[in-house]
Amino acid sequence: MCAVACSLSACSVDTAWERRVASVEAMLARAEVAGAMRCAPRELALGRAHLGFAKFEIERGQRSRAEEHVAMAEPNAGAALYLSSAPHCPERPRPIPAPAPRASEPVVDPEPVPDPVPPVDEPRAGHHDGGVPHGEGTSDSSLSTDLDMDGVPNASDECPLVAGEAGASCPHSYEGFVVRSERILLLRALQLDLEGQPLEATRPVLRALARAVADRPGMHIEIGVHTDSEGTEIANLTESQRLAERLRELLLAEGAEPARVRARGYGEEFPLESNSTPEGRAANRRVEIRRMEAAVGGL
Amino acid sequence: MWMVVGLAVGLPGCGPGLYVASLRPAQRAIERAHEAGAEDLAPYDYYFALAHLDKAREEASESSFQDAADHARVAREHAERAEAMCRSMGTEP
Repeated sequence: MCAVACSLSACSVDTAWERRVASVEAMLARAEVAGAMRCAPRELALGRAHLGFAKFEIERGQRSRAEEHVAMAEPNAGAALYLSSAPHCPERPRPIPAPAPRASEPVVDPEPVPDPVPPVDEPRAGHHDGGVPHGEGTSDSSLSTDLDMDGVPNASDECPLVAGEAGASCPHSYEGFVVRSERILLLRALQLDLEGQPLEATRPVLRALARAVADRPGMHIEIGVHTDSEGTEIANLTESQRLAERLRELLLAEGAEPARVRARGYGEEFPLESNSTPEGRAANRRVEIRRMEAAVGGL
Repeated sequence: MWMVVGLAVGLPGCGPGLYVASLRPAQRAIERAHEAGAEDLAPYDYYFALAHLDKAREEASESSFQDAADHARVAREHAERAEAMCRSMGTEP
């Protein structure tokens, strides 16, 4: 009986998953037909790429990773559809030959989907939240209200449950860092001792970082660790990944939601300054925190 | 201040090497596409390439070096396509 119940439960989860994927595919198909290749190429590309990654992850059993990618694909598909609709894409689209199917892309199924939802923030930034409100306190019935009473209605409030400063939707200054649109600017270095424990001055910054993530239900961050060029490239890559993962663990221990924090070691790949001087090498050894709902890739 | 030291660790096989070898050409291709104006002239392929480069790094961070190399290859292909589109428009700087 238990086995039957469990498999039924798995079945319903899979059905929900398939529906979700099909919905994103359909949005992307509609967007492309409406002219997204011309009016929202970035959103179309990111939507397709992340949907392809989601399918790739689900095939190898990485469900949570797959969900992260669908969560990136959905707002991009929504934004592509929005930006491709009149009046945002006024010229009637030319029929664009569909690119040859690639293994990493979904096969689209043009089934009907709901009308596009306009992005809450700047339309061209649709690749972050894409105007699809989500998270606590942003249900449809509460969109016109202002739960945190900061003067910004929930529908456009990035922090619906926390009052912003001076008319802003969110608090931006925290202990040791400032939250900006594409990254978190660290004002204080994050330091670990040799056992991987945070130094005294680093603990409050980690606590505040966890709070900043919690304040913004739509925010996803990446902790990126960079090294100088001392040692081999591969060793630096490995070491930077280890440090990034340790910082992520510490952030999760402070209460940050695991699905919204990822760790990435970049090794020596992106120096800020020359590695030929001690000062340059010191500048290159650093931690950067990017907001992933607002950025992708980077050279 | 980060004291990141290159550790003399025995790394398994040539997996990371495979990734690093695939990553460089992908990065260079994306840089060339960027310089050619792909962000504006061939944005679909440019951003598709960026997404795959990002995915390649993600895979590498989990030691899935073969998958990382595959994504880096896709990134390179799309970046080269984006660059070619820009060049064909005669807009190279």
